[in-house]
Amino acid sequence: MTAVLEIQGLRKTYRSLRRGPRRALDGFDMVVEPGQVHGFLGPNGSGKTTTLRTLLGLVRPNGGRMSILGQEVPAALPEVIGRVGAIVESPQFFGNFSGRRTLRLLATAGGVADRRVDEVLELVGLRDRAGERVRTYSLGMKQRLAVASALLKSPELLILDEPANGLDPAGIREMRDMMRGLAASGVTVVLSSHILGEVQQICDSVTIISRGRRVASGPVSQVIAGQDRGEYRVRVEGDPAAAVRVLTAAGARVTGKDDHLVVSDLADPAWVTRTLAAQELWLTELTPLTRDLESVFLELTGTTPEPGHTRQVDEAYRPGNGATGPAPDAHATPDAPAAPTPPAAAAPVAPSAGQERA
Amino acid sequence: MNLVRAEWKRFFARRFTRLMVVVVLAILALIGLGVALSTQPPGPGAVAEAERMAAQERERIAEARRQCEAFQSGTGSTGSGEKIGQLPPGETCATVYRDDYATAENFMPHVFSFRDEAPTLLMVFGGVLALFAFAVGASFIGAEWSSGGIMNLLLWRPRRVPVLTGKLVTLLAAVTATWLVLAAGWVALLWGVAAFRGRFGTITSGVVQSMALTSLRSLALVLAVAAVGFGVASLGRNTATALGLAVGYVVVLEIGARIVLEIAEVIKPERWFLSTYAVAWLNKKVTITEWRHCRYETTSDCQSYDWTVDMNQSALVFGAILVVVLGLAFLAFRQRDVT
Repeated sequence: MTAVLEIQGLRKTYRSLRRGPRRALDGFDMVVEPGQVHGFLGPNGSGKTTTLRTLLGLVRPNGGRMSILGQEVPAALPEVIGRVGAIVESPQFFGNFSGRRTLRLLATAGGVADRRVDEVLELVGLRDRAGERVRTYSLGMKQRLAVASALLKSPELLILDEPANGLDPAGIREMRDMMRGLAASGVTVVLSSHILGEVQQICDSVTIISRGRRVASGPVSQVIAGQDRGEYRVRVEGDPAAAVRVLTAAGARVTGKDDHLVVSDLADPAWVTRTLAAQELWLTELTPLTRDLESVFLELTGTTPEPGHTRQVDEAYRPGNGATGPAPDAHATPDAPAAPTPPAAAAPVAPSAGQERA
Repeated sequence: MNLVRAEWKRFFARRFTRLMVVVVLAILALIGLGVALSTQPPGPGAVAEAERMAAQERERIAEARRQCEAFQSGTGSTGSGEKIGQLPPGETCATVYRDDYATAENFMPHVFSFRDEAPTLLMVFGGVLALFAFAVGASFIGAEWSSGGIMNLLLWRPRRVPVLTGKLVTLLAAVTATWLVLAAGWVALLWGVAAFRGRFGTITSGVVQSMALTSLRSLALVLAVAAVGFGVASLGRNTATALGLAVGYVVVLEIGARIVLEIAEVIKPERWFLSTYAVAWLNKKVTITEWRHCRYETTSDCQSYDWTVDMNQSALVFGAILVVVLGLAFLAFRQRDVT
């Protein structure tokens, strides 16, 4: 099946006389399959918006290849843009025009029938406020208007940069339902967002970017599983210190917490039961520590907050040669072969492959 | 075509455009009111008063000529007659003290003449519209840049040069339409003043043709100014760049440099100012009399040095500015990243 969106080796360097060159994209790759809701994630300044701008012809790349709906861009962008709806970064509109007039002007410029304006206003929940000036809109309402402008063209590919920004909880849910509905009707949605719980709920696949390079990509479940450490929370009846001694002596990696233990790199949790029972230590809890997209994201991008340290925006992890910034503990992703590998498994069994998702 | 239609709607829907039209209407109304109030159809009382003043003036001139002739013939007294009798070389008392201008017509209160004053007032109209066009032209693209409208538009129409061309063409068409409507109103106003409070004068086809050509030149200037405002604002990606440049130009060059050049006694300083070329363009030519650098020819008197700027030179100057500004604007719009 032809990818709806494909990027290979995309490079972009911003040049400034005062600050010198700054590499925003450094050989970035991305593939989005048709009919998916695809999450595009990355820390601030990682190159997400530059990627989207470059894809949409707003920024000129220094190298690489891009295609949308099977056509090379930017060369074929004028032919394909009518099938792509997009909002890039925070929505900006002329404040003195009403929401309806804003959309009508866009519709006129794009040769879209006026009735479509009312359809999308209804769809994003702005029907009753469409006659008011955009200046009076809240951030969430502007965001809805931006989404409406992207939907005007009835696009096959919808690119949304931070669409939930400023939305209230109900608005976020509506946006989620809308994206799901669009995907069900065959629209491919590329969604850039920092609300990772939301992304985990609605996205089929993700691409994670850090400092201009891809650090992970694939179905959400696989990306999370790729960072699975086989960790289990263990509680025992009686002396936890004894349990630590027994498990460590048996070769497990054990970390003592306040009221429980964490055993890492386990593939078979029954091994814990057997090992402790052999020493007459009885389990009261053995729970897999499931990981979520947020923790995986923080780990992959090297942006996990550290107490007492304020992370600077450029301190994210850069995969490949010349890695800088605080390297995370583990970078076991298919897209970061040169990154530090996880510590060797100390447990007597191989790490587990899959865990249930949060 | 869709783009031009959308931009046309946007131009007239913009609050700034509407506000500027109101400002222009207010300025023109004030000028029109001033013209209307300064003219009065001569009644019998005004005619009698003018005739009385003309007769008084003729008497004064006749007395002065008598004193002059008496002095010249050696029979006059000294004092004021001596002063009156001193004539420039080659002149006589009859040529110096002429009373042919002392007619009642010249002592009548000002009466607006459509034929004589409409051309000047059409130039004034052109100047006011040029200011309007610059501000509106700059804002038309500048506000789009600062509000994110350009980015939104490029997400619909990624061919950048046609987008900027469409916007520029729409601007020029919209300014032309505005100019036509306001010019029609302005001529009607002047016509009304002439009909009710002044006179038309002798209006021949030549006069009408001349006024039409003056109006067309004023339209051309207005369009050029609109395009320059548009180009500068597009380069700076906001309206303030163009307005700042305009204010800076007036303060630094038209006022500051003019003073400096005059102090430094530079020859023909007016050639460095766009206002000179604007006046020359509207007026077909402008002749500048320079007294500071005298020419001494047949007599020992200082002869003024006159030089002229004609409309062809003006066209060259404005054309060059237009080409440079729009060329840079299009180049930047095509090449620069939209961030």
